[in-house]
Amino acid sequence: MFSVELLLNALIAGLLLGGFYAAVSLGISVAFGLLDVVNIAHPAFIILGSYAAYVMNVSYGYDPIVTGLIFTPIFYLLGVIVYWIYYASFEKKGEDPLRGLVFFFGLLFIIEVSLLLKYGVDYRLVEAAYIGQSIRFKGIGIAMRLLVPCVVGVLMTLALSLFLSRSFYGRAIMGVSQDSLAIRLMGANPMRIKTIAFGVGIATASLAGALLIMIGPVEPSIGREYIGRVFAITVLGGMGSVAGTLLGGLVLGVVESLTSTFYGPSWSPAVSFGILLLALAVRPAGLLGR
Amino acid sequence: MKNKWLLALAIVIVLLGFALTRVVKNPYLYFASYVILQYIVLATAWNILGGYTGYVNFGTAAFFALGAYTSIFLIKAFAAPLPLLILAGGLVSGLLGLGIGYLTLRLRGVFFAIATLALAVVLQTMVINWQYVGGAKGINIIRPRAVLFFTSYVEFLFAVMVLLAVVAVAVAWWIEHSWIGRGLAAIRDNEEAAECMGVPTLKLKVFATTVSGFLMGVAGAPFPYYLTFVEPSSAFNLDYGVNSLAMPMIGGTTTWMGPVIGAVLLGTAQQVATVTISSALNLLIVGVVLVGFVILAPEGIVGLAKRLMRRRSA
Amino acid sequence: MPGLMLLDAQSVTKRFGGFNALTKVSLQVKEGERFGLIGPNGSGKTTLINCISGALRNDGGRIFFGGKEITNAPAHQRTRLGIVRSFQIPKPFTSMTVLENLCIPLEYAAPARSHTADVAAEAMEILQAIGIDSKANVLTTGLTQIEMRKLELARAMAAKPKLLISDEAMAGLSSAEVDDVLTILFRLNEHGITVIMIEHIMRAVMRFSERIAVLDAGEKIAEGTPEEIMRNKEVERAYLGE
Repeated sequence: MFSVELLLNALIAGLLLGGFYAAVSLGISVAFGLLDVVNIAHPAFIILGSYAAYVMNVSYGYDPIVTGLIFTPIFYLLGVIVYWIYYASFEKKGEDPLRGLVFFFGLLFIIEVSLLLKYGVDYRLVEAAYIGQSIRFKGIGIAMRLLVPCVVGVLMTLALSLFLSRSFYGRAIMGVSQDSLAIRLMGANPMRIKTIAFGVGIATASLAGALLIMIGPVEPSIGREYIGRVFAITVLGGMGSVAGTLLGGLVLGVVESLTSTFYGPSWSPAVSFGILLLALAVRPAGLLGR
Repeated sequence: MKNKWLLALAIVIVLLGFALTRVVKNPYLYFASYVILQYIVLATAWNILGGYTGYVNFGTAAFFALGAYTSIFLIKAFAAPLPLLILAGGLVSGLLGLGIGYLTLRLRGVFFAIATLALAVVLQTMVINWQYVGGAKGINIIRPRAVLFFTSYVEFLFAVMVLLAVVAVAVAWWIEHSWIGRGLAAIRDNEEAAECMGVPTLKLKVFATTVSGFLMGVAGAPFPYYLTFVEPSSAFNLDYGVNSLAMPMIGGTTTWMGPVIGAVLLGTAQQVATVTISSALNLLIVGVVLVGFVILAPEGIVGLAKRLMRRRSA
Repeated sequence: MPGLMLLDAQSVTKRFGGFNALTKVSLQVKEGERFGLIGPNGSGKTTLINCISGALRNDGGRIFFGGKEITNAPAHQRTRLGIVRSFQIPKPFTSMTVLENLCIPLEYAAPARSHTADVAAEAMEILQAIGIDSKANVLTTGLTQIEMRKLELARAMAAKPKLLISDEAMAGLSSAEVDDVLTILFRLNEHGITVIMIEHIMRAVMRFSERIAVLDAGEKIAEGTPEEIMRNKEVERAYLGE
């Protein structure tokens, strides 16, 4: 049964979700889009962020966003360490990307199963004053638990975009993604720049994870659904384009929401992967790609 | 001449497998061995594309489960016999390999890998929404009673799996030593140079993907009779993906022996471990071992052995 | 028959995003000719070679080989027809020995033009002709720089080329090594193989080529005999600046 109100609700929900999806994909946009590092373990780091928010919320009553911000430097360090291992084992030797890919796959698995061992298969959620509420706007309900992550997600995207275009290290990162030699000639160390970039990518997972657990309950294997989403968004948006990531996120959010509303939620996981396959087959450069 | 010896060895192994069912009566051993043999097929199949050609497939579960669900469909609709199930499962999964290969192998290997991951989820979603084969709840399959000269159907399945494992290894062995295998190795070593040296890279890659998918489907076809209850979340389990990848990585990816060694070692360890430790901890160890091997010993056990032998003869 | 046109590249254009790598470059090479292709760095030489060999698809123009149009043919097919290129930075098959590296083109590219039962023996012959037969059973990781370059050429020879494109095979080599490679290329040409040589080492190009084309910023700015090219003001300007 089709109604304009249903459609509008689905659209709004989709757009809100899309803003959040963009936040989730920022890390991949940096790692894969700019550095050509296929970190398929990124969703696992996001789930890690979710569980950090959960633990801090349950033990100390911290608001998830606060936890997300506090843990950001910790995640940055984690990203740096992971990149060191990756660089020393694979990139330095110029090995085929197969091994690096398997490395991250193994990492994904390790993180997921570790969380499973520690916290079990139960869904975990956070409590915060605003999560249960919603705003009514001209007959359309907007849930806070969707609105807040969307807003924060868009802010994160803007912040990263500014960082990449205005700050010294940000521009160095954009530079190193295009021409490693030129960077070296300018006196900067490409490896250091790449490390910082990767660290920043993982750092975004902290806040993204906090947002995730705000939207809905989380359990360790949820990350797998997001693998498809983040890569679909990155490919759709165009590799390395932060604005593209936002656009891709919105598109995916809307398509998923519409599918879920009119065909049922059990088809949702297929949507992102379907879009990914379609994008790869038809236009691998993405909508805004270079 | 060597080929004749290997053929004889293969026949002997199959006959041994059949003979074993006369002697050994412990049903648990058959269940456990079935799993290991199944992994020999899966790991060998994975390696044809992963180790020989250099294209990583994360979606083994998709091909495996597709074989299983093809079986379920044929069992329910036509009460089809096992040989037909195996053939059909292989063909359907082979077609899937052909399709996904043709679509994504023109892109970089990385995109192929991600697409395979996507494949498992998409297929799982489709199966969940298909009530005829049980949907999300799963489906019960009645195992036929004993067949031919076997006292139980499980023993029969075990013998069948022995045969399938030998066939899979034979296929891998043949490919490895043929001109196709040499072309695949060239693609793995340097695809650009291979293409410029006359190797039809796309055709060979699609061939490898199809054969790999076929064998994985074949491994999945008897699965419904083995487990008697099949549901999507277990059939499409990522664990199949991790294991069929970890086993060749640990055993060695450049030759047919690697997947076999890896499957036997890791498979046996897992069967033993599941009894003593939780399955989650079991998987954690697999993940850690995989990462360890990828970082420290990328050529796997076979590679380490080769290096040792070279050093001793030097 | 000498004098027949073997390669006919017409108005080849290639763009990368907003950047014009090649703009309407035409090239005709006669059968049995020794042709030189020169130009400053970034002028598009390797891009042109990539378009001819099929590694890249050109955006505009048509390419004919031996009378047949190959504009849309995939690279491996062009190799089977007889267009073989060697790489500037050698790309050996790292899991194989030197001998096995040659078996790939012998099995995949050459059969279209000749049939030998014993691939390994023929590979050995080529290695002997080039001078690296002593390393036949060594993995490619155990080769020196000059040996890698020779392997690159040997592998190209194993593909039984009608047209061999040598992309900066001499870069960074010593004077004696340059002469070594030059001798090999001369010998190949004597056997009837058409050779296009891309080099920065002027004395080699001038000695080797019967005709030379000069590229600058994606366009062909001159074509002629070595003497004509030496005297050409445009060429001088392209290399030395205004």
